[in-house]
Amino acid sequence: MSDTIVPKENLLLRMQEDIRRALEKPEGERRWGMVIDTRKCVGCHACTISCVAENKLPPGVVYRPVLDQEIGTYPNVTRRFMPRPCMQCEKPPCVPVCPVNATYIRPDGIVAIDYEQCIGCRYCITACPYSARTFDLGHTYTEGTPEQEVYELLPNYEYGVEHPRKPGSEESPIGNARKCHFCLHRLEQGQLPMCVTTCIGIANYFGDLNDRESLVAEMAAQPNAIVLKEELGTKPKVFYLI
Amino acid sequence: MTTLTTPFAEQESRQTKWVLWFAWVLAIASAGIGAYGLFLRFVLGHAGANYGSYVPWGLWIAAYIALIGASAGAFAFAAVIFTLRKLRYYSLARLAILLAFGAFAAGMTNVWLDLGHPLRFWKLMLQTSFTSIMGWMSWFYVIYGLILVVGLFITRNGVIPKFMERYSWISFFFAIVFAGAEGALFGVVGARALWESGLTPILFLVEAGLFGLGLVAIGGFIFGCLEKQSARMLSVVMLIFLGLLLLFKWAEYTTALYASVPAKVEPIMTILTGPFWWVFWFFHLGLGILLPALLLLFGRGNIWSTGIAGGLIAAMSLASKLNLVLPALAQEELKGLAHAFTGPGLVFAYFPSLMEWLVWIGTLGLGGLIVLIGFHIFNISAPTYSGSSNR
Amino acid sequence: MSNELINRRPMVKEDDENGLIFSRRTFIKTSALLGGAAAIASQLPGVAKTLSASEQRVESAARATDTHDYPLADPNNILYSCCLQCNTGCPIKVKIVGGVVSKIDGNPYAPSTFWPYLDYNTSPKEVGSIDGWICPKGQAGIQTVYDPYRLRKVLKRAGPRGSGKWETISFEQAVEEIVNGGKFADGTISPGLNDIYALRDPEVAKEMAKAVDAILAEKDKEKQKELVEEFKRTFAAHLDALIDPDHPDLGPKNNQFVFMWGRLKDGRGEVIKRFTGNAFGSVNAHGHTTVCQGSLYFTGKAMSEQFVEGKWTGGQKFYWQGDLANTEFAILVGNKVFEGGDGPPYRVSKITDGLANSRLRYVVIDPRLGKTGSKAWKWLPNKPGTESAIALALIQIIIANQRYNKQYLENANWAAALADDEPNFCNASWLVKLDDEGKPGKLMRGSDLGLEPEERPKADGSGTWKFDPFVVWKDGKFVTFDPNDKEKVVEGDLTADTEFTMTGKDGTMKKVRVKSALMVLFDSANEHTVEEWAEIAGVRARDLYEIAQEFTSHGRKACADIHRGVSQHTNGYYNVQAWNDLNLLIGNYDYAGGMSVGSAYDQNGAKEGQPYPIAEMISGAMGTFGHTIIRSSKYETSTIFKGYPAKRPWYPLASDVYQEIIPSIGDAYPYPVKALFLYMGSPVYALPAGHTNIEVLKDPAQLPLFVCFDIVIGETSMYADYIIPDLSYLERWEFHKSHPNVIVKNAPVRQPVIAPLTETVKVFGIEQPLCLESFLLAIAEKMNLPGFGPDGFGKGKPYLRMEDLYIKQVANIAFGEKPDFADAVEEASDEEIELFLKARRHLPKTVFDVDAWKAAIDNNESLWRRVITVLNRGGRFQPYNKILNGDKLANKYGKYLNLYCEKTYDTKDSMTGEHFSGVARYVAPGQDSLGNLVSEQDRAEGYDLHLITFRTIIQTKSRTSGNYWLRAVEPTNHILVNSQDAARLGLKTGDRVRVVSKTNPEGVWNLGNGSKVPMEGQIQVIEGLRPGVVGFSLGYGHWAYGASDVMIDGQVIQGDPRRATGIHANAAMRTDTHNPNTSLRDLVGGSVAFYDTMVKLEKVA
Repeated sequence: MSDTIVPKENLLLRMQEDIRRALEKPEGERRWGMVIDTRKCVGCHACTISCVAENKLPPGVVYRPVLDQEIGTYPNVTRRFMPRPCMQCEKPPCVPVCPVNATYIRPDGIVAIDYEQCIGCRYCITACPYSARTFDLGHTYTEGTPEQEVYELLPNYEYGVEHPRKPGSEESPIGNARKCHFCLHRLEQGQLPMCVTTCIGIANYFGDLNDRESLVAEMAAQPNAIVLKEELGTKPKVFYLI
Repeated sequence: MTTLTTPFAEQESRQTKWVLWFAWVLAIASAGIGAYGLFLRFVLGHAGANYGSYVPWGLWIAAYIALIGASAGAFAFAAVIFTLRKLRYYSLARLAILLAFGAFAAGMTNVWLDLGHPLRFWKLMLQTSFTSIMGWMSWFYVIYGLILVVGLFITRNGVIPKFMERYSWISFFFAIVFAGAEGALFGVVGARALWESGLTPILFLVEAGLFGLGLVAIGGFIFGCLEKQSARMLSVVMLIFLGLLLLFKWAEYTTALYASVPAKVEPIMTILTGPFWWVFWFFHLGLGILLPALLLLFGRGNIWSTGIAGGLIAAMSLASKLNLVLPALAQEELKGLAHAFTGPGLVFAYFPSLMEWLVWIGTLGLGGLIVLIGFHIFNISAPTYSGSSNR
Repeated sequence: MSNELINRRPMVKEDDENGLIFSRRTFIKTSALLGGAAAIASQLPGVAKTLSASEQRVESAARATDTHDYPLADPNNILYSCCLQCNTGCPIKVKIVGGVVSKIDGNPYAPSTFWPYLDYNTSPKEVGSIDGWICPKGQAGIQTVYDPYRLRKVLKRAGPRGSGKWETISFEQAVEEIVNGGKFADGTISPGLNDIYALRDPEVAKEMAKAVDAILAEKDKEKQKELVEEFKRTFAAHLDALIDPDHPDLGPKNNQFVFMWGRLKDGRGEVIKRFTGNAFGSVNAHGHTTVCQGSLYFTGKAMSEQFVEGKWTGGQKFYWQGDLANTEFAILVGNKVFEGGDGPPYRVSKITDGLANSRLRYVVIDPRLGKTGSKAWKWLPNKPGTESAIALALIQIIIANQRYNKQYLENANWAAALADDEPNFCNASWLVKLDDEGKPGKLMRGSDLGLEPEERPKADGSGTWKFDPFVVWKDGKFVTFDPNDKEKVVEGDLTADTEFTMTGKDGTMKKVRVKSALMVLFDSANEHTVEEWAEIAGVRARDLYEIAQEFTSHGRKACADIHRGVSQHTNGYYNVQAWNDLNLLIGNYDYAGGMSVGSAYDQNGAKEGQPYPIAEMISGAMGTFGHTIIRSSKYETSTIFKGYPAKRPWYPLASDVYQEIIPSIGDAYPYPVKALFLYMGSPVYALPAGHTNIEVLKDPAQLPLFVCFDIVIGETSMYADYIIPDLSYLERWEFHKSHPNVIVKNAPVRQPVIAPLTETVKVFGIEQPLCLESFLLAIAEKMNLPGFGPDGFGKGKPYLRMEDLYIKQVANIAFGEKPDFADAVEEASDEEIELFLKARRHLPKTVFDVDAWKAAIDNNESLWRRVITVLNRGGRFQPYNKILNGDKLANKYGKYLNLYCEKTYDTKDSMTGEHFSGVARYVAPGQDSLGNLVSEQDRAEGYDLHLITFRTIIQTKSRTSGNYWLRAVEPTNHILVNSQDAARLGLKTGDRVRVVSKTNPEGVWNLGNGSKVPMEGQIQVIEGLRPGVVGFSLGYGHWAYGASDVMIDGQVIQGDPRRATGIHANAAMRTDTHNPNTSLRDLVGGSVAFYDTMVKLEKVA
């Protein structure tokens, strides 16, 4: 008798199904989006760190910090947590300002950076209203310690390309602007973005917003869904449930 | 027809020689210091810098826009002189072109070293995106650089041909467009309330004019190209520009403060009362505007006061531009960002690193050396003639 | 010096196939930590060869990496293991590139990290692209393993203890000196284990143990003395093996060897216990339970004591937690489930799911709001230490309004429970005798009514025992019964309050009042009114009524889930008992949504039919006897009883009393200790007032030999004579099991996933990595200890390498707990075996030797394939559809429970000689061992801020400071202050203050080596904290563990300032008046008090 436990569907497996369905469509017909349920976010930073680990982000580069705000006065007080990935705007202010077309909107809606094209001028960083872009200054976490550790130099697979890290060089992604790309390399494998996978509160929904059957499309249409800085008209594809 | 302008060479005083000597020493020392900075820049990469992600642009970008602005202003001055055929100022105008070139070179070095991938700078020209003001600007720099080089070439032996006057006429307008576009680069960034304003490009224009004049004044003073009349003329024009600048700043600050939109008020309050309040009050307003204004008002256009006022204006251009670049960036775009994740470059408090200072000093030294060498190569202290093709 | 010698990290090198190109120059760094000093390298000619060989292996491993688009989804690059970044022990999926860990994710086969988790029979080949979740610390484990300050070779101190000067020595030299004595640079000499290993005859040991038992059982002190004399005559030939022949109950000199540990899990646990007890014959193998939540465990033990053959026995050291996956209402007390509390990855998703689907509401009772409080229905910021006041108020409301589960509580024996289909029952209806003052004492027995006890045969046939039945009051009559009777249903009147006339032995008649245990509890709850309880706890009475209402409105689907915030007080035991009793009132134990016990597959083969009964597989084991150094025995019965108070407290109801070990060594009470081995623990850093341990540890006169097993030089291992470098959790074995909150029976296996980073040594002729196991094996080899070596597991069954034990244990798990493979996992297919081998292609033979592994389980092919099935999935996990049994939990406690703990009542406080209370009651917090209310005294002296600690999910207490990713999230901790206090004290966020207390007025850590670390930190003003309380999070304020410079072989290894940030204010914590070298503690449950200290904050410039 299993009625005492609500028959559970594994949300991550369902969303992976959603992704696989989307991958069968032409790239231009997908529209990747994310819904973050702030009621389920416990501010644990697992997404932040998993992203750092997955993309081998060096010190100073972060794609998905979690903002932590205390609200109210004692004893009527609470805290609110808000993860901040790249909003993957439909009208991204960062794209037109790039002088060399290094950043662009992919047909599937992801705002991508061509690491080999980027000259590192950081104009896009100033243009993003969400501070979603950070600059790779070339640091490593274990520089200056008794040993430069190898795990930091292992390649990341951003945009489906192996990028080993070579501190002291100016080889990309060092010297580039960097940002969240919804773990495009994982999407292409039918996997969820790392932050969605690793969320211990299952607070993220992810998938193809164009797919009516997808969980993310359902959640993005909830009455309590909002986007950040809506007044700017950037049309984010990241929604928050509040 | 040839007209002899005032032969400065004969009037070169001992004082000027001493100043020139000092300028040489300073420029060489700066370049030497800069060489070490450059070494650090290439060994440490950007890891040695204090700008980063939340304050992505720092000293170098401020220096770059200040220098480029001054360059455009100085060049515009020369263009006006040639266009209006003010022969008595031709020597000063020739110097202005040289100064414009030096400032341009120094400015471009600053921004070049600021790039994450300096060796990819060619992409700016060959793979330009014209949706980006910076894309346009990169072409403008090429054109502007060419104009300067051509201008220097045409006037290389002190004879200013007729067509130079027409050439100046066109390039004057280009300089204005160029300086304005520089402002537009910031003015169009909607994410930064302080920048996003129609006033920004205008302010850039006024500042470009002012800083350019300041540069010419101090340059003329150092190189002995300034005399009573030109000094007076420069004082008057500089005073007008100072007035305009004050007016625009006043308009900008007061409307923003009065409207009380926090996104705009906060950076302005940062400028006025933040940790670097003294940059605004002491350097920008005090040494950059009020003191020069007083010198110009009460100095009665004498060479000393005009030169020093110009020098102050030119030097404090950096303060103005720092206040434009940094406070706009040093604001949390989302509340709590400062503490959400930390690391190099993820701070809203910025002060240039040693490497940044050294490189910046080096670029000034470089610009100075270009001017000093150019001054001798082009023999600017020699008499300047107009239009003659028979000389 | 050749760089070849120091490049000993497995690294990915040029590999054109997949474009992994690393420049060697990146690694050109020398460090003595790496054993890289030229002098040492030249002394070890073998090193270069070994290294280049291991490098070649890595290189070929890297080449063999499949050219998969995304190597991290390729099953060939994935190994499953178990996290140890905190004690939750989540199963993990480790992704390896070229022999180096690239990414750690959650294991999707496991309930903690995926929900519902994958079917166990899913092939791991199909699971490459399915990742589970894991918390930020779990992700950052890479940085624990690849810590730039990791040790590779044995360190020996090259100056006085704690001087920070070290030399690297060979493994052989270390073993020789520790066994036979060593000499140090400062002239001190350490004894060898051979000197301490005095009693070597197991037969004599067993005889002596029996004689000592008889001595301790004798209550008459004079007769006891005679027994001692008799003992001396009997064992005259062996008296020199005793610590003190006049006090044989102190045991043999072997007891002067102490093994203590911090974070130890099964597998290694068996090794240490086998070594210390079975092999070395010492009783002193002690864990760290009381620094975690000892009173939570030992209340569980008291409440689970079973009535067996006339005695209370078999109580388990364990605790219950709430089943948040199914509950509808939870009260979380001192338990921040979002940040700690044994299981955020498992528990958080259950809560957020409950909140989003409106299944669940919860209450947080804690002085600090924290992250957990931010989503609570109610937050009750109580005064620290008053948790039982709240529980008793709730109990009072519930009993007074009869909102308890009457049907459940009335059941007095098994028969009654079974008739109601209950999985367990308790003694709520049993009668308790009250003394003249109305205080509860012993349970009423049939003999009180004049009934003659019944002779019953013992189960093992060794004689008879006297059964004296218990009594309930039912329908106006006394009814006697046997709790274990499964035939005759007995229920009792819960509101019983009556009298009977007792006839004394001398014929005198006396009226004795009796009450049901429930009424005894009600009396205790009625000591104050609800409003008074609320006042004591500093909360609103209205909230308590609402919570009581809600708690009793969901049937069994409500729970009070408590953790260390409740237990780590001087009154911890009774705090815990009060909350456990509250759960009993609704009878939610073993119910879905109620209270759950942990359940794991047994790796030790103790269950019938399992292939390898590890504990029995030993010949010639030493028997152990004598009081332990922490005195988990009765003071009164010992031969060193000298009246009250005892010199130091005795803890008959607790074991693993961590805070007692080192101070007791310092006080030589009950006897001096010669050698201490410390494994994965840092008492100096972790314990309240841990600085007092330094005085003992740094002094060879008090502690002649001190050996530590550590992966870095930590706050405690910095005082060691020798540090034995150990393997990190990704390089070694363990059986972590899970926690009570996980309702799934499971057994995660920790196994090596990367090549060892320590040097290779030779033990029993086999090359193995330098680590705990190889070191103990080497000692055993040198000293010829039983239980290890060629006949370690019995004749012809060798224990020569760690896998000889661990593979057997995996086999037990794979086999399951029913005979004939009925409960076994499936055999691995050929395809899975291929994957098993391929995924381990980067592991050297020292840790992956298929032939040796198979031999460990007697080359049993079927068993071997099942072992592979388990290892390929990182453990064993019960099927999802088997975890519930109707409305009950499938994995149940299923036994009798003590609402009234007679055994606790029967135990006396060794300081006052008074009985402990058998019923939950309110005891004021902040008492010293003599019962003085020192917290209140300190408050009166102006120390008016109550210090608490807490954990964030970003740090584990003492071992995550080198996790730079985590430091990027929270580079430092703060001293949290409420805005009201801040305003009063003139403090603002960012101000620096020093924490001072009555027993640490200077506010420093005195390291005993000439330096002092001030307890200074930055203020953070917040709202979510009770005014009057200040707190700091654990894990910061390090001065070792890579935080400061050390010198190895004359070379300075510079510390990393990032690891020294923040404050660790444990040294401010109050010490005991009677034992000033020890913090305050709970004398009943053994817990050390973390939250009973009053402090002042002094502003510093």
